Amino acid sequence: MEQRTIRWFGRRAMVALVVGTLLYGVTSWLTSFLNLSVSAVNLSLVLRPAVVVPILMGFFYGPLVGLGVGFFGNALGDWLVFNGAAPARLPAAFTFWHFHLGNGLMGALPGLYARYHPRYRSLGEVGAALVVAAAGVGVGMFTASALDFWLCRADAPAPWCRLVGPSFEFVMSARFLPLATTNVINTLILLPIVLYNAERLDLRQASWVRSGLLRRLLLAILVSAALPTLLLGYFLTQQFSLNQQLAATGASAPPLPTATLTVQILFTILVSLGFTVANATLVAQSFSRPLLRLSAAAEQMERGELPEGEAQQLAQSEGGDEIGQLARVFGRMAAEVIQREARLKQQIVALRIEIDEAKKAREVAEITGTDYFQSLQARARELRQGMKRATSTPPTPEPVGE
Amino acid sequence: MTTILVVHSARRGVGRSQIAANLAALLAAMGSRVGLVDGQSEQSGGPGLEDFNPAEVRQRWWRYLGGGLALPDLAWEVRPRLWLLPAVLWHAWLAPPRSPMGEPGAFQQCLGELVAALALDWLIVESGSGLGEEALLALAAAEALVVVVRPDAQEVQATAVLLALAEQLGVGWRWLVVNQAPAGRSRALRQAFARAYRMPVATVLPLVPELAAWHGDGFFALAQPTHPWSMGLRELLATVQRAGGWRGLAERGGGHDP
Repeated sequence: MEQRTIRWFGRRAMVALVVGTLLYGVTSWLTSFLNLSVSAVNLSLVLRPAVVVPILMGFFYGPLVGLGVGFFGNALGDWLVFNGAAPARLPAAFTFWHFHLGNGLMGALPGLYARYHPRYRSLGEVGAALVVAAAGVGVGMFTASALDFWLCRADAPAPWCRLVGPSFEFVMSARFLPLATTNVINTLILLPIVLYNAERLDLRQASWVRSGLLRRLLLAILVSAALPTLLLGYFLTQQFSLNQQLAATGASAPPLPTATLTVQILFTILVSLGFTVANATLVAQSFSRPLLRLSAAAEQMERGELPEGEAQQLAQSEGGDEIGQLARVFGRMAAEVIQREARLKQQIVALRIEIDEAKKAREVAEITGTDYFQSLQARARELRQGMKRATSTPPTPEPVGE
Repeated sequence: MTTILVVHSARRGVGRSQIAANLAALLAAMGSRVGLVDGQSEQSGGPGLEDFNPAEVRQRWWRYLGGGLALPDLAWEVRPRLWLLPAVLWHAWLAPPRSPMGEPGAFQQCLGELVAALALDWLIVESGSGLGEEALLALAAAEALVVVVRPDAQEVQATAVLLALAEQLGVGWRWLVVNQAPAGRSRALRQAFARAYRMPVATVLPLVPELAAWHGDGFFALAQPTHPWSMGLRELLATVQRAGGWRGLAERGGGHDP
């Protein structure tokens, strides 16, 4: 992993700015268009995934890109959202410029941090990035709220102000707190996932498209995700048709059966959990079993105890993914090495067994037949007995030096 | 009672010095009193004997000849119970009484006296390679013989002849040691050698490249006791010690030659 450096601006940053702005604007618009945001009920927990876009852009492309994506992206979002309502086109997008600025600050602060530490690998690094991002959200939303308070002040209110001259406390509780909380919660949930994956993403080589592991993981995750969706969809349509039937018979709508809804949601959660755990276990098993078999074979190979049959079996492993490919390559290599070693072993063993007994007897006889050897045999007796005599008697007093 | 054990090989460069020196060190470490003779040269100490100073040994020899030194002082105690003996005494002792080495019997008895003075249990001699006169004389004196071979095709014939001659010269114990075996081949080599020579192989020692350049502290088998080479050598040690034990029994029982 090469060290990433974050520049102030450049060609890459330019592209990132345009892409980020479009992404942020369209995602904001989509969440608002699909009416996923239920801020009317004054719930803090609102689905607003778009918030991570300027933050991420800041982390990966620097403060200027973060600022720009936040500012222009939010403006684009506003323009897309208000397009139908207000006939005024482009200028309307910049009416709430102070909120654009607040969003821009959300991206700028992570960008400034990334100038000094652009790494998000370890748990600590991701944690630090989360703290910075939360601080950025706080600063941005506070700036936006404070400007809102100033713009709607009593002596010279902006034309769009619904409430002129609100108290600072009101602005803080009605604007800053919900905005900051929503954005911080969304950031805390989404940012670690996206940062973790973005840091490890490598799309430059196209091989990931053909990855068998990717296909299997994708299938498993899709199947896991489909179950809760289907269950909840089924419960909701049932509820809907029940309401319709009631409306058709003219009966007054009964109060929402909270107990039933709770049970249904709980059931969905439990079933989804169980299903996901089972699914993950199966997938993990299908990864780990061949890998464990491979590592066991490698250990055997290291000790020189891997049977050739097993190597051949590995060479014919099935599976179109990378693990199967690794097993086949390893099996072929192991079989090749084992065969080579066996050949070498045969040569070594074959080398040994060649004493020409007749020639040996001739050579020995040539030496033992000589007079010299006869005298040597006599000398051997002399030498051995001499040593025995010298050492079996108690040691004589040593010669006295000087 | 001293047993003379000769370490021999049909050719040079099979690790004879390492085996002789380390076997001597192991025997001494196990409590035996051991003398070690490098019959090849007086020049160097050999493996594990880096402190050995040939110049001082020569000086001692001249001082001994001049009468200024007692015979046991010629032995160099490299470790507790392990002495390095001057090879010249070994050669003088081997030489036939009327040899060009000097007056008949001039130093003939020195080795015996020295060995007796040190009360050695073992005299381990690293003899020259091949089947020269000096080697045959060493065989004639030996009671136990360690023949070191390398696991390649060379010198198989010469080793076989050497073992046959040793038998004819009445060497009671003959042990075959395969040194420098490639990794993982020990069992196959042991079987192949035992079949070819029709005798059990005392031990198979692995090929240890770093052993050739061992400049560590002292003897490899003592410094690296869990190394496969050291463990293999201890197999030989056990065989050698068993033979020593039998010999002791035989002598107490009636003292026949092995």
